Order: sequence, then structure tokens, then C-alpha cells
Amino acid sequence: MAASMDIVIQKYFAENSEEAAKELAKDLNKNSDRFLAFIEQLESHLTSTDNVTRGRATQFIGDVLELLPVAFLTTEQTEVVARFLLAKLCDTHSVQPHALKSLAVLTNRCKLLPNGLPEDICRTIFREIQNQTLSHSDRRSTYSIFQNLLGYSNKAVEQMGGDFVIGFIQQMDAEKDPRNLLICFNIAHYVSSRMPLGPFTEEMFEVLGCYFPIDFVPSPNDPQCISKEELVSGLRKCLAATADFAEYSLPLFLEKMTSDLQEARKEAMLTLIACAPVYRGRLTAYLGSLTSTLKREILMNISNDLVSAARQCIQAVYSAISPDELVENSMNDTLSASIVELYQDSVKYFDGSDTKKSCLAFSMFTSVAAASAKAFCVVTPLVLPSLLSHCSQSSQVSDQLLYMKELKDLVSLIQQFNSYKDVVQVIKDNHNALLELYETKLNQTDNIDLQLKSIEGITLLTSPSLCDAIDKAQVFATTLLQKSLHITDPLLRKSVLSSLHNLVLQSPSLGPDIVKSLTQACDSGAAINLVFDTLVQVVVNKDLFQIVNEFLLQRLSEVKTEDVSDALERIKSLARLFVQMKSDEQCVGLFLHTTVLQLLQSSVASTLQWTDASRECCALYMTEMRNFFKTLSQYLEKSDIISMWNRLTQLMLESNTTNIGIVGDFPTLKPLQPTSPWQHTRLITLLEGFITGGDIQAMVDHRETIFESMFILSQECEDSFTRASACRCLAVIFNKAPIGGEIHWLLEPLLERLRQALSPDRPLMNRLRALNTWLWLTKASECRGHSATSILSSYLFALLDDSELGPDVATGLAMIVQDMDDVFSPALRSNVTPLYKQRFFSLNIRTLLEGYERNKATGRQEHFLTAISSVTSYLPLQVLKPHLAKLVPMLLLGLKQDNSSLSNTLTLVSSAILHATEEVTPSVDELTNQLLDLAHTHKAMKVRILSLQCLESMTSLPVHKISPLQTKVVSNLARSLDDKKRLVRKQAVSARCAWISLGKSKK
Amino acid sequence: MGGLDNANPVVFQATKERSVLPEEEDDSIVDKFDSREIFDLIRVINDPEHPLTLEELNVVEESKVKVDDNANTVHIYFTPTIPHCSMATLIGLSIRVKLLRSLPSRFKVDIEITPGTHDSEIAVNKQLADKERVAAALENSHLLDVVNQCLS
Repeated sequence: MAASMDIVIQKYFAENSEEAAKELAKDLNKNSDRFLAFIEQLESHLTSTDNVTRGRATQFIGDVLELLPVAFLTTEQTEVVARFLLAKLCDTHSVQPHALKSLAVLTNRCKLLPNGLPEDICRTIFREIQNQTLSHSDRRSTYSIFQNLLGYSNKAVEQMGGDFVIGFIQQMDAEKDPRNLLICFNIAHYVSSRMPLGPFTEEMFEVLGCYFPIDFVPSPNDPQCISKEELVSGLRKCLAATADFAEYSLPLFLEKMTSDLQEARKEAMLTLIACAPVYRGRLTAYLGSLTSTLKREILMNISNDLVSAARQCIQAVYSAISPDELVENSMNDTLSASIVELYQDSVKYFDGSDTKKSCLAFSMFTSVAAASAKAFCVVTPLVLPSLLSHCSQSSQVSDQLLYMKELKDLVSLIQQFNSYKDVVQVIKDNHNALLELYETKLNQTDNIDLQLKSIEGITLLTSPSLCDAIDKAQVFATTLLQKSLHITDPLLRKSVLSSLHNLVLQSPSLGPDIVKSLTQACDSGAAINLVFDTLVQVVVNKDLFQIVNEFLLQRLSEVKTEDVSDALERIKSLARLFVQMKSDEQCVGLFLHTTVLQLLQSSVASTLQWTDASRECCALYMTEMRNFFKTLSQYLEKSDIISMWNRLTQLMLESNTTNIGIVGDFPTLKPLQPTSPWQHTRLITLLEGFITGGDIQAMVDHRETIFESMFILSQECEDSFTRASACRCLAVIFNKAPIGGEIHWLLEPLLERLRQALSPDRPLMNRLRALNTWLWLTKASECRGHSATSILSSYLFALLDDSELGPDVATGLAMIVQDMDDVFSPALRSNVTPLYKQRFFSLNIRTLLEGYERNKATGRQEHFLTAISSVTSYLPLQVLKPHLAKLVPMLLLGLKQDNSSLSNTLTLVSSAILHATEEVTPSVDELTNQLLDLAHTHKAMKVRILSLQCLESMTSLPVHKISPLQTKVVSNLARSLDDKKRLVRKQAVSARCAWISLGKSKK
Repeated sequence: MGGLDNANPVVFQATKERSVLPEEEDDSIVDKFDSREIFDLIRVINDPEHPLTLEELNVVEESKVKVDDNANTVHIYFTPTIPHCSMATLIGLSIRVKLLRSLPSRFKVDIEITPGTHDSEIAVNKQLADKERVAAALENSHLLDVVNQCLS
């Protein structure tokens, strides 16, 4: 055994030291008793006369200890080894680094050091080691020892007091290595924050302050990857460690804040932000200089970064000297005196001759006010009157906006301090002036931004903490109400409505009056969509819900079949009302028992009234009903879905009208029979909406019967609206059906029947209906990524060869790659696989391209061309990019075809021009001709506009490729300048100007 | 180049984009040229001195644009910000070039300074109305660059 250890030791000295240390540590780990033997075996090396051998042997102990578990050595063993290593520190200078390394390992691995040892370690190092004469890695060992001792034996070190402080200062003095500095900053922070620095405060500051501000660029090859930010934050923490540094660091910061280097100024301000909460009262002595320096920085307005740092800094300074408690409003304390002085210095900027400077000065005072409640109370009376007068008297809107922004920032601080009654009082003193200003701006300007700012301001001022009098809130509510009845700008409208909502939320007593005036406005001819929109927004509780619900339901029981616009708005608003109050159980219950039933009744009752003349109105009405039921089922609980489903199926299958509250005899309804009148069959839209929104797992009873009936309706019903609804319903059921055999069981027979219906011997009308159903099923299947997808889509591609159905298949394919968020979306609990459109494209584009080549002779290649433009038009360019080289010629051919996807193809061409320059450039001549032709001759204005947009995008292509075309394009575009449509002319001007200035912008 | 003619001009608010009416989207209706359409073309021209548009400086106003689509005429009055503005000709030229590029050739375009708003009103009006002088000016590549900058 001893022999083997000896061999390992020899190996350490002879060749591979790392390997040998590992081997030995492994051996010692198995048998801890052998540590003594190891030291004994090492004796001859440790006492060797050769300095190198002695040094390496000393380090060997550390190398081995590093690989052993923590606390491997007993306390006695630790003491012996440590004392030995300390003795080695007194050895020759070439042994010292090795002893330091081992000591660093020892202090790290052995956490429980015997009493007195930590102190001895420190004192020996202070006495024996001239740290700055060592290499950077050895210096790191020294710092690591201190760091370990402060971590595990902090009590012992702290007892050393000033001896440790001065010892450490001497060791770290003049340290240059950034890696070591990080450790030093860490230790210095600990020492400064936990130990009294006593007479050594200045020394400690000097040793740290010389690094400020840190200017360090990391070397690109630095394996340790120390960043400037780490060093900056390390030093910042040190300087902010104790208030004792204040008297030394504040002059330093002041000096740096006036430096020519922007970086230094910024760093000084950021460091002061960190130090201010610690220095607190010590800042007072330098307050005047600090504030005037910061003021200068803000007003110089050199960069946003500097201004923002200076504003934060001035806030931090005033916050630090603010008393904890808001004392009585006396102006004699330091804080008030300083703010008043600052104001007197800055008052010349408030004269408004330079808006930018005024606003900067105001923003500075806003930052000061944000420092504390006391500061707010001092600043506001000084600044607010002049700010108010600028807001109201400024002649230019842009200036008014800037001042209004400053005013808003200042007044918004009230939210932060509204628990202090003095602060509230300050705002109350100016309440009337503020309200007056905001009201004037709100009512007398057309500028939307000014109005928005005014609404924000009034909302704040009418909050209950600031406004006891309900009458002011009422006046504001009336103003908002009037605004809400005619404002259509979306942003302003949103702000008006949300303010109104908050107002009613804060003072619910305003609600009934608002609702009353809105209902009256409705009767007096205001735009009903705006009235209803506002009505829904003010509903905040059950009482208001009941009133509004009842109001919206009025006139819905008897639908005017010749004009359904009022009914449509009412149904839409009811859906919004439901969404708004969906979390209130009582409201939902009320809604289900009254509103939904009444809507069901009116849609059933109206079946008797629709005539052939009102077919279109019926379609609009039923579509809105569908949307209503979709929204309803989207947010209902499972139990409510079950009961509503049963009610709906009973109505559809059994014609049970008593179940929905229709009393007396009602003619038998058979909405699911294809032979029923269209007025009846269109009722299936309600079912479709309900299935689209809700969880299909809750709709169990009769689901298969419904599925089958929908299929029959989709094929045999004469009403196209019903057929479309039935197809969507089928697709949704298929898409949402639970995973398992049920889908195949439903689908297989259906597909067989569809194939028969699609066979060439059937009448075209039947074939088209079957095709439409097939397309919907393919869409549903693609969405959920079902295994039947390939069967469905390959059959569709085969139909492209069909001379009769080909064109319809080609345009219908667009549906598969279109977004249909109102039918399939995760919010509606549909199964939507991510990237399904991309997958469909990647799997099938080859088939389409091959089909085009194959059919060149047959004349049916046009079907494939249309199919390619249909499919590509709805996909993001990134997906198409790999195929663009092949697709661009196809798209150009597609431009020649006049079909419904032409505009989509043009959109795609436009983005291809911008993002796939290389693929487009070869075809530029042909493309230009076609686009010029379309821009001038096409009958659809949308196509003409898109062609012109494409022509404009073409100017981004390489100039040398398109400049030969410039004269031709410019003269041809002159024709479009006289287009009969204004929007086309606008685009023509834009395109022509782009071509005229071709290449000039790059000069 | 010396100091600016008008170093601190009054800035006016720009009008909003023209909202698209339903009949403008109807393919079957013919949209006549109106004053707003012409105004939209020229209001975005940049001032040669300031980073502001002619509209923001109130140099052009919709009320001072007269269009007769049937008679194929356009008449524009523009108002320099100060009576001794040395840029008046350049502004007029920019408006003319913009309209040359953006209007069908059937229109006869007259551009004049609003009466009584400029010291050398008659001279400038004459220059702007002289086709040959305008054509010659546009052959000067330096001047064309300046005009293009105003139009970009």
C-alpha cells in the first residue's frame, strides 16, 4: 500500500501531476485514515532542500484536498495542515504561492476552522505576503482565502476589526486584474457594510475610488468573460456600502458629473442613484451643488439616456433627504428650501419662449415631486400654475401636447401618494383649474391626442379619493356620454368608454342615470351601434345588467323582416354583454333563463314571417344569431352546455317548441328535413353556432343523428345558406370529434357516399354540392392533422383533371390554406395543428407542379395554375421561398388568368419582389409588361391598385436591372394618373414618383 | 448659404388622412378630381428650409386650391411664410414639378403666390408661369436635386 502511494507521489513530481492527484484522492476517499500516511510519505519532498520540490509538495496537499469531499479532514488534521501551510508562508518567496494556493483550497473545503486559526491565517498573510509582487493567479489565492474566511468564519474575522481592514487594504491596493477586482469588490463591500471602518474609512475609499468610473473593455479572448457591467455593479455596491463614504465620494461624483465624458457623467449619476438611499442626510452638505449640476445636465438635453439618468438621480437625491413621515407643511426644512432654490434658479425657463427647455424644466420638477409626498407638496404649488397657463395659452397644438404630457406626468403622481392627506389637499386646491383646463381641451379641440390626454386627466381627477362631490363626476359622465355618441376614432373611443366604465365602477349610483340617458338617445335618433356599445360598457353590476339586458331585448320578439339592422345590433350587443359579465354567476343564470330563451323564441317565431323578398335579411339575421350562440357556448360551463344542447336538439329533432317557452300551438318545425321550407332549415344555423363555440364532449346525445342530418342537408337542401351552414357544421363536428375510432366510423360511410355523388355520371349540381362538402371535410381534417388527410386531399387533386369540376376544385383549394378563425381556432376549442397550412403546401406543391406539366397538352393546365395561385396566395413568403424559383414563372402565368385569386396572387408577387429579389429579377421584363397592362385595363379597382403597388415595389430591385425600363414605365403609368377611381390614382402617383426618382435616393 | 430666412416659423397642425368613402370603393362610380385630392398631393412637399411640410407651415391650404375637372384646370395659390422669403420660387417650382408628375397631362395648372403676401409676387408668378423657364430650370441637375429633396 505504502509502496503504491509512493509511486503516485513520484508520478506527481515526475510527470502528470493532475492524474496523480486524482489517483491519490480516489485512494484517500476510500480510506480516510490514510491521509496521515500521505503526509508522512510526502515528508522527504516537503523538507527537500530544493525550493521547487518543496513548493510543489506544498501545492500537492492543496491539489489533493481539492478533490476530496468537503469536511474530509478532522478539525485537528485541519489545524495541523493549516499551521504547516502558514509556516510555509514564511518560507522562501518561491514556496509562498504554492502555500497560498493550498491554503485557499483548505479554507474552502474545511469550513469549521479551530478557534484562533482564521485570525492567525490573516495575520500571517498580512505580515509575510507582499501581494502585489505576486502573479495575478497567486493574488487571486490571497483574495480567495479572505473571501472564504469571511464566508465561513466571519465572526473571527470581524473581531479583528481595524487590523483586518487595513491588512486587506494593503493587500488589495493597486490591484489591476479585473478578475481579482471582482473578488476584491465583493470583500470590500462585505467589510465596509458589516465592519466599522473607523480611522481607515478614507483609506478604504481611496483604494476603491481610484477605479471610478470604471473604464474597461473585455479582451475578446478572455476565458473568464468578465464584463464591464459586472465590475461597474461590484464597485457601485462598494461605494453604496456605507454612509461613511459620503464625504469622500460625493465630491468625486460631483467632479465626474461635470466631466467632458458623457459616459463618466452617466456613471456618476447612476452610482449616486444607488448610493443616495444609504447616504441620506449626508447628502445635505452637497445638495446645492448636486441639484444645480443635475439641473444643468437635464436642460442641456444631450441625449435621452443622460436626461433620464439625471432625472432619476435628482429624484433619488430628494427622496433620500425627505423625512420618513410627512410633517406639517413647513417650508423651513432643508428639502423645501432646496426645492424653492432650485425653482428660483429655473423659473426663467418657464416663460415659454423655448418650449423644449420649459418642458425639460417641468419634467425635472416632476422628478423632484416624485421623490416623496413632502416634495410633491412643495413642488406642485410652485410649478402647477405656470404649467397650467402654458397648457391653456400655448398657440400651437404641438406645444400644447408637450405641456399636457408634463402636466399629466405631474398629476399622475397623485396615484402614488394618494394616502397622504396633504398631497390630496394640494391637488384639491387646484382641482377646479385642472378640471376647467381638461374640459376646455376635451370640448374645444379636434386634436385626438389632446382629447385623449384630457380624458386621462379628468378620469384621474374624478376618482373618489380626489373628488368628494358626485356632481363633478356626473358632469364628466355626461360629457363622456355625449362624446361616446359620436366619436368613431377607435383609440379615442376606447379611452372614452374605459373612462366611463371606471367612472361607473367607482360611483355605481351614476349607472342608472347614464343608462337612462343612453336609452333616450337611442329613441332620439343617435347611431344605435354607438349607443349600444356604450350601454354595454357601463354595465358593471347585476342591476345595470338587468336594465340593459331588458332594454336590448325590447323589439327583438318581433323582428321587422324588411329591415333587420336594429335587431342585428341588439343581438351583437347582447353577445358583448354576456362576455362582459360572464364571470358573474347570477348574470349568467339570468342570461340563460331569459335572454337566450327569448332569442330562441324570436328566431323560431320569425320563421313564419320571412318571405322570399326578405331572404337576404334572414341570412344576415341568422348569421348574427349563429355568432351569438357561438359566443355563448364558448364561455358556458359544461353543465349549462349540456342543458342548452338538449334544448336545441329537442327543438331540431322533435320540434319541441314548448321547451323554449313558446306557449300554445305552433306549426310543426322540421329544420333537419331537406324538404322543409328554407325558413325552417335555416334554423340549423343556431345549432352550428353552438357546436362551433362549445366543447363537443358535452354535446353527446343525438350527436350522430345531427351529423347524419347535416350531411343530408348539405347534399339535398335547395337553400344555399342552409347547405353552407350544414357543411360548416359537419366540418366542425369532424374537427372536434374526440380522438378514437368514432371519427373513422363517422367518416368512412360519408366519404363513400360523397365519392358516388362526385362520379362523372351524376348531375353537375349534385357533384358541386358534394365537392363543397368534401372541401370542408378536407379543411377540418388538415386543421387537426388527421390521418384521413392524405386520402381527402389526394382525391381533390385527382379531381383537378376533371374538366367539369376542375375550375371549382382549383379555386376551392384556397379555402384549405385560408385562416378561418371564426370556425376553427383554439379559442373555439377546435383542433388546430400548428403550421398545418405549411405542411399542406410542402406535401402537395410537387403534385400541383407535376400536374401542370402533365396537362400542358390537354388544356387543363389552367386548373393547376389556378390551384397553385390559390394555395400560394395565403401562405407566408418564408414557406414559399425554397420553391420560388419554380413558382415565380407560374405566378406570372397566373397573372394572365382572370379569376378570383388574382388579387391574392398580386399580393404574393408584391412580397416576392421585396423579399425574393434574386428569383424575381430574371423575369422582370415580362412582369413589368403584365403589371402595366393590369394596372391600366383590369376592370376591378383592387387589382389595378395591387398591380400599381407591385410596380412600386419593383423599384427596390437592383437599379441596373430595372433602369432600362424606367422611361417605358413612367410614360405608361401616366395613363393610370387619369384612372376613374381616386384610390387607383393615389397609388399611381406613388408608383410613378418612385419610378421617376429611381436610383436618386442613393446618391 | 447664410442664415435662414425665417428661423422660427409658426407650425400648424397637419390634417388627417382623407377617409375613404364607400362610393370611392365602388368600381362603378367615377371619382372626379377635387381640391382635396390636389391638396393631398402638394401638402406633403417638404419645405426647403425646415424639416416641415408645406401644410404644417400653412404655405398651402385646401381652400386655396381650385379644381375644375371638366374644364381641365387647376389653380393654386401658395403663401410664403414671410414676405421676403427667397425660397418662394423654389417652393412654386416644387409644387409645379409634383403636379407635373402626378396629374394627367390634360390639366392646365396655374401656380401663383397669394396676392399681397410676397414682395416680389409678380416676378415670381411670371417665372412660374413661363414654361420654358421651368423646363430650363429642370435641366439644371443641381436644382433638380433640390426639388427632388423637397418632393421625397
